[in-house]
Amino acid sequence: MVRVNPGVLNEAPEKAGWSYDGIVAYSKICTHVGCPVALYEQHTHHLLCPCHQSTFDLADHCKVVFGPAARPLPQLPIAVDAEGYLIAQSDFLEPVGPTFWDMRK
Amino acid sequence: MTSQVQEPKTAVGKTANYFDERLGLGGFTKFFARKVFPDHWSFMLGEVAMWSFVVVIITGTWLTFFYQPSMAHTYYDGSYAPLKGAEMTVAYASSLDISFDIRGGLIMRQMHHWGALIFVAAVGLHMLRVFFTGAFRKPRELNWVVGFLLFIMAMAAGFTGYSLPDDLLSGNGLRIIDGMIKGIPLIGPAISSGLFGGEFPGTEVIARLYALHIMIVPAIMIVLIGIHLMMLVIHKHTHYSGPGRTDQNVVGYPLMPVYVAKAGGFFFLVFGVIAGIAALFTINPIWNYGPYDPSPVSAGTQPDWYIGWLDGALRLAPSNWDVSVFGYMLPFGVLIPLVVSLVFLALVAVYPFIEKWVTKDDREHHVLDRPRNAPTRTAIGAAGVMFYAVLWAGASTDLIAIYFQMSLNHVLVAMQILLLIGPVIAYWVTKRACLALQRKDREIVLHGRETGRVVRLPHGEYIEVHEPLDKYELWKLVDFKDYEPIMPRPNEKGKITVAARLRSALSKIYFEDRIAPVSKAEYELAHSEHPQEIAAEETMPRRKTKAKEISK
Repeated sequence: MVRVNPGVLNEAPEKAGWSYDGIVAYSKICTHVGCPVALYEQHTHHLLCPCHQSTFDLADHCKVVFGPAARPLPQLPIAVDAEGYLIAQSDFLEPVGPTFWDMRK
Repeated sequence: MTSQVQEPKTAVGKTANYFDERLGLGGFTKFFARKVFPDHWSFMLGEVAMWSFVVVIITGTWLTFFYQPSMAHTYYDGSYAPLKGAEMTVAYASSLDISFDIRGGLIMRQMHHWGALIFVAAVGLHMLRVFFTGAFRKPRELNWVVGFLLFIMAMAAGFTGYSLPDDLLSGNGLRIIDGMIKGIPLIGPAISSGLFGGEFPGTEVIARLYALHIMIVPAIMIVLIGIHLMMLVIHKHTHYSGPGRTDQNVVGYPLMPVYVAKAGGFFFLVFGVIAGIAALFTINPIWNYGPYDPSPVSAGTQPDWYIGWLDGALRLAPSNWDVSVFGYMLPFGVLIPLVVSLVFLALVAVYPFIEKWVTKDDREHHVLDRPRNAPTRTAIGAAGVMFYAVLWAGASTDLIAIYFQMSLNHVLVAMQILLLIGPVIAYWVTKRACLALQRKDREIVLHGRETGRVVRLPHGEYIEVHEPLDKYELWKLVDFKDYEPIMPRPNEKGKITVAARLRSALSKIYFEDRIAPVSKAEYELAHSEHPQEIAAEETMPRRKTKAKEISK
């Protein structure tokens, strides 16, 4: 979960309600082979996996910009509840973690 | 002659006789005590492997007394203050206890780890020695395969052991393996949940790896080492060429007393070196990594060196390449490295059979090649080493980028390019270097060594004195097998098969550029032309066998 400047966030219209004031939540498990994507660089808003250097653009749906991964990190839709806590609107809508054979079935 | 039996009189003699009469040890001892081993430093590499394996077995057995392969949760209560009270698995806690609270535990753990690293390195170097000297040729092809299996088992033993402390670094390594297994089409997800007993990381995997690491893998390795050494006895050891050394004999020292002393002493040297390194240099400081937790990871993670090439293959994989086939997913970012490394290993395993098929050489070879005298094989080996080395370096792209202050992305792309063109360059350079060295050898055989001594002859001419080689050196330079490219020939039905054409094409690649060894006629001609350049006596070794008609 990272907060970025809402101005740089490029959100698809159908995912517009998934973030809150620049706060976005993505799965941390790399879609390549499952390492935690643990390095974040603020000025490029890129997430880097230290295991095999797959790089994801946080401001653009965590699409792969470099490295051996193929799928973007799945996004968790979040919102704020009446008490001001961040809550998840639902579970992840995409399979989390490495790609596997029957993930679309 | 009388058939009088002499009874032993000394105590030793009586004891020996006692055992001989009951167990027949006499013949056994006679056979092994007289076993001959040739001397060369490169024959020591396999021995390093064997003795470091013994060290690893000894230290590993010790570790099993204290290590607990359980993923049950506990809170650390040992003497390492920074982790006091931390939640962790029993496996990690017992590894910490071995490191800090059990007397002699840390040095045993470090000897076990260093010993394993040295073992795999020695196995690899031994393999390279066998490859580059052609020691895998008939009758030793099967022993090459056994050795290859040992290399694979060494990696398996290393990886299963690496994961046992259940620290953060090894846990991430296991996570990567899980991700790779999941990517295998059809059966991957089932294998993964079978291995981990459900979703990663589960609560089973450490106990399973432990069974593999201390029981199954070492048992297989001990059997393979037994077969490996048994074949060594059956085949007898190879030797390098020299006067009196042929494909029909072995020239060296007997096991008893020379090699018993040398090899026996060498065990203590290997043991001492491993113990020395383990005492002086920290390896795998698991207390710095912390217990495994799926969410954090440290930057600059690296596997043990022998897994590096596989990790590098994962890093250099092409980007953005998941393919959906009828709704099933094929993650090429994982599958390409997997397939490429399996193909590479398969080529290593079957190389002796490929070369034998190409050369059609059915003779037994006990005299080793100097690498330069088999230029294409040496070049193929160099290309393989290059390929492996680039993959291996590929596992450090992030560290290279940091230390040399380069862009990570540029380093990675450069590695990808190098992976493709590096082996080609290595092949070409090595082959040319071998041929050049062979030409130099011919030159030395024909004209002797330049001494730099310039002499004025009675009629006023100046010449440089060339010194002839002694017999031993001369033999080394002229005694090698020479192959020629094979033409595709029709079979009994008068047809030239595709296989025959392929063999001919490969044979052309292998032997089209070749430097023949100096023949006796050439040698005599060269030396009759310049008699004054050659000093006193010389002897030309006779080549023992004419190269048989290779193409039947």
